Amino acid sequence: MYILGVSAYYHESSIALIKKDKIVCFIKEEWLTRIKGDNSFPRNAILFLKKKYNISNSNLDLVCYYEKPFTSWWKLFKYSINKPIANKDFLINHVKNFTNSSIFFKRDLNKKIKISSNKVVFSSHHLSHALYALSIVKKKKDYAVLSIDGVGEGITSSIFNIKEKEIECIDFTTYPNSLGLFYSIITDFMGFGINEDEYKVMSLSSYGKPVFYNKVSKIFDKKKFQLKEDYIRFHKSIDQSFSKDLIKIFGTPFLSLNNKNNFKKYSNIACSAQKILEETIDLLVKKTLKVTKKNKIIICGGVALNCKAITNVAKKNKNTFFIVPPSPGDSGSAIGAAAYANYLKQKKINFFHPSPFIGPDRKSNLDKRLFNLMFKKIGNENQANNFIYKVFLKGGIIATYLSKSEIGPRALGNTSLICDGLNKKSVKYLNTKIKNRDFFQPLAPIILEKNFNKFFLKEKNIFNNHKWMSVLAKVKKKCYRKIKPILHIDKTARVQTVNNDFPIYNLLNYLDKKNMKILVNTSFNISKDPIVFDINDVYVNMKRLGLLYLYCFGKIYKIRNL
Amino acid sequence: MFLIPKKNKNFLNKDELAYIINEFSYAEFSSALEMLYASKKCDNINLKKGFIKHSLDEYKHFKIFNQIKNDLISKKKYEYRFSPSNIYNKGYISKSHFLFDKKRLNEFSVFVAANEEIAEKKLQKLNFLVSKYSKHISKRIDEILIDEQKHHSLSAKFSKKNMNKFSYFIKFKKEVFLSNFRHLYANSLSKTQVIFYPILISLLVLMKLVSSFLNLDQNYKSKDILRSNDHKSII
Repeated sequence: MYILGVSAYYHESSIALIKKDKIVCFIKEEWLTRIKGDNSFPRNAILFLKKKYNISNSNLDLVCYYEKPFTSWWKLFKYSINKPIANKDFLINHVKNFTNSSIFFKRDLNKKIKISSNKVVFSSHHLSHALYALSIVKKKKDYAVLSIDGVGEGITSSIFNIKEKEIECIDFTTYPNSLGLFYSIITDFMGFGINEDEYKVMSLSSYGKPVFYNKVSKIFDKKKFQLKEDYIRFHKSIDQSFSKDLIKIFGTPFLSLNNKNNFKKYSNIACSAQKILEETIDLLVKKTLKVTKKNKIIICGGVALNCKAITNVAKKNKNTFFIVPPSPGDSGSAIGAAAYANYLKQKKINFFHPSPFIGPDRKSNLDKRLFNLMFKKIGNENQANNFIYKVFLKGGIIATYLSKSEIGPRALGNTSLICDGLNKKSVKYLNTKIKNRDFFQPLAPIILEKNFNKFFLKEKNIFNNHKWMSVLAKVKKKCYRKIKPILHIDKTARVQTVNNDFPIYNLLNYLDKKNMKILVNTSFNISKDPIVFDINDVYVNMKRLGLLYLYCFGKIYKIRNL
Repeated sequence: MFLIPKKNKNFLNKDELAYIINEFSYAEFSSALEMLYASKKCDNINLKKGFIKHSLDEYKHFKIFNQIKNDLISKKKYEYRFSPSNIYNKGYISKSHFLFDKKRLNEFSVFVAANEEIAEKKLQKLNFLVSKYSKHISKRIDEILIDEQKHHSLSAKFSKKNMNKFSYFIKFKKEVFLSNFRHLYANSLSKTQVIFYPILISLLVLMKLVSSFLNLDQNYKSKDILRSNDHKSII
């Protein structure tokens, strides 16, 4: 019997299918619709599973939605309705969307798969975050969980103490006081997209100095965990999240970063906001450790994607062991929801599945006839590695498409664009021309775990997170010049370590022997697109990017013209 | 459903043009997604190839429109941001289905033929307005026009091969009518809001009164949140 976990309607809609305590398959709706951050009901994902695993009412034990739908809708409504005229734009939109909201989850589900009403259950937003986070560790009771995000069910952060058979919620904060929303209004102010581009603010922050620290402190009071209402508009408007008061303190929004002065100013604002974010997380971490009396903490929720903050907080708490799961945002909560349904069946919190590669198996889904029309094999498994080595020597770029999709927002080698990390020209070309990224965003390196110490300073309390790029590493001073192409302005890199559990290990091991120890790894997609899912996406994206070579299931292929 | 330069308009300032071009970029991006989806769902290998090529063209147009938009705008504005989630909000793609799911292959090809022809006409109008600012931009739109003509003729050819001329003519006219109706509806939305807005605001004031009697606050702090969570409830 299967259990289905669903996360939808707010961020990247996702579903997770589990059977006998193991994840059978995880899919994001955006992979199938090709709309990045698709938050609609995951109809295509459900149909995919229905076709592949023949799921129906008879073989589904439970379907669990990741939060309480009405509470989530109501809490935002309740806050804004206090001033119905002032907040009319938000409220009208909120009320208009009522029938399309998660409150009608059962209706939407039944359109795609007929399920008995008593089989549909509801978890709780931050509980789903916590249960997903716990799914990647074995001895769960050793950990405390800190969940921080924008908002879910009116709650913006939660502290959980994990016991043998219980999860105790020790403390929480409520809407609109949200660290996630605070960072989002800064993102919005700079002209970046909310829920899309927060990572750009994080990258930008390394270029600045916290000269606006006192001003930003007025917006978010870290000690009271309070986001001042004067500076926000997300409860009033659907177009703009920040108020005129924020413009008064920071000046003109949406300035172009190509201008030197604008860049300096915005990087200083970003740096100041990042500092407040890090100090607030640090306070929450310290509080969590104090009340739970534990020294192992898992941080989840969308804010945990800020790898710079996690790394810096971990540095201040060296005796604490930190974990940030590969997909800490709402998307990963589909697994948390499934884990909750699993708990309802077994009355135990024993769900354990640490691998980030849980998408559908690519080889079995491959349309071989179409694949052969699109690609020409130019080397068998033995020749592939050497061919790639030669391509890299010439400054070329390879696309990878291996075994299963990665769960989180970061490609971990299975669906990546890779090149020689020490070749300045090819790294720059990949970053700015192929990926069209802003110049202030560095690309991340990928290396064998055994080589980590040669280039980077090892922080024991976060080291495990390098497998899925959740943290940064400081580069050794003696290596600055050598690995400059992948170095951020603050001398850090979001390095990914690879051991023999990773499908890309064989290639990296071969290149290591040829003394090519650092590659660059960036997700195989185009800006504003999700990571590629099937072979049609691979072909279309390679054509759009002008790429020639594909490393697929251990072999190397050249793209053809259709 | 995008805002199209009106027939009687012979001049638009750069920001107005950028706004319209942004809508065109949404339309092209959405078409690319529809075609890519069709390439995955159809069985015929030649059609798969055709849909993929069409999708690549639409992605190319999307890129061109984005470049034109960036060239035209005087300063960054919220309205000019391209956000993929707006594809649903603006109604370019339905949240419940792709067109290929709802239409049979023949109907789909007629739909494509009709809409490519409409797009061609609207692009010609846009090109006329754009040419007043830049010949370079106008040339880029000409590139797109050539593709649109190709798409129209290929879709029409396929449709005519699979149905008689009369049937094609009727279906084609029906699609043109529906498409124009959708544009009319989209362009009229702001006018209907004038009527409904006061009603909605009155409703909100009423809801404020009702909501003050409803207290749905729960005690979230719990010794055991796993057990205390009422899994049957949506509250």
